[in-house]
Amino acid sequence: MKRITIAFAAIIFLASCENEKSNTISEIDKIVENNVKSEERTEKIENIIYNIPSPTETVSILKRAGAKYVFDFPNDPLKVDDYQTTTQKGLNMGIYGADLTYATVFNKTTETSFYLSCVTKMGKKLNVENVFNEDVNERIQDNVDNRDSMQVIINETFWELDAYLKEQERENVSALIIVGGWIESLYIATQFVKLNPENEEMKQRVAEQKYSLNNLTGLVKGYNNKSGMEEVLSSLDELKSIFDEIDEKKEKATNTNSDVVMIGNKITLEMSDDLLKKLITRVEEIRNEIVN
Amino acid sequence: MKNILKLILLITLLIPSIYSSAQCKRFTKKQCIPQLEEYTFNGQLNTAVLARGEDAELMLSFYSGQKYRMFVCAEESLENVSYKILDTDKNVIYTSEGKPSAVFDFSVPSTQQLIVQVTVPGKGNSHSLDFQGCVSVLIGFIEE
Repeated sequence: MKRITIAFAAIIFLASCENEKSNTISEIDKIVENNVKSEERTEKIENIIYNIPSPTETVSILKRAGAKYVFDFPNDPLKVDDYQTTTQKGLNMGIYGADLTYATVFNKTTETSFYLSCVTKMGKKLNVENVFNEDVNERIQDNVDNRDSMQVIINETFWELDAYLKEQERENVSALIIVGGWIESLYIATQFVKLNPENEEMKQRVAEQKYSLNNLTGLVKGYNNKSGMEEVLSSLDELKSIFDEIDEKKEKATNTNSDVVMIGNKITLEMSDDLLKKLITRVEEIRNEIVN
Repeated sequence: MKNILKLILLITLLIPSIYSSAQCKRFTKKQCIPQLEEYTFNGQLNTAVLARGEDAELMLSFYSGQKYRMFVCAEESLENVSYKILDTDKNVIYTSEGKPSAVFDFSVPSTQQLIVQVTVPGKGNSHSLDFQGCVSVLIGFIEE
């Protein structure tokens, strides 16, 4: 509202000292109209914020469920120069970011360097090189053997990236990066389940992604008018229709065996093997469409 | 001349937006993230510039097997900011009202979505910058 007021005052001031009043006002009207539309969209999104756990948190959870580092899972670092459109660049920035996290969480120093290089290159392509700058690279190289420090640095850097993109009013790119990171984490989890079908904990972790997907869909819907977003949302909706088939049973939680307060419900998710297979296949297709 | 006027107008329009965003980022980095202490910051940006009388809602998901620290960090110009945590059936499961700290440590019995409702009390005056401020909802995690 304050921006509208300032804009209104500016129009009155400009209109009073400009001879070519009508033309100027008509052009300014367009600018103000666009700005007000952008403001309304931002406020709408800002007051309902959707977010999901970061790839760092998700990959750490997968590791505890028994996941290993499989060299074939992450995207090929040599493909980094293939991505040209904003949608490709945003999604693959998220993909490489998750791959960087995957290598970091499993202490794979060589792979960490490869994926750091990919993320830095993608940063340049997205004109956010001031976030992935020399300082960050040096911090990462200095801490490459320290998993905990690396996770903190990566999380902080992606936070800086998110904040920078929002400052630049490029929230849609930020959303694409989040989608790419989530798809890659889910791809790694589902590929691991494919190799280890007996790992029930991992299956459960895959099923739980339905909650992150609900939030992710809410986030992307806010930018559905942007180029490329419709396709992204359509892929997420397809995955949502699969996740929605998972049986969910809620009951009041009674277990308080924790040193902190436990809140929320006890929820049991049941996913049939057929549904899991369907999900693995579709995730594989969507992920490969993004990286190839 | 027309181009200069347009440029001035555009700058006038954009400055408050860039300013509040940048201010919010600086505030979050300096005043809020350190409060997570031993919890690993999850790297997610959950910020909004709110005026008195306004509220914001966040949809977040939390994993079982983790301990979480939630910190609702608000600029001093916004007094007595409070928040509630609700399940997806809209049952209130935690409220910060009457609590001495805006920091809340918790865990969840199963992975689930939770809703965080942040409220800035008072009568709004969105024309004045004095009545606006940054609110950040930060999440840190640690293995249980």
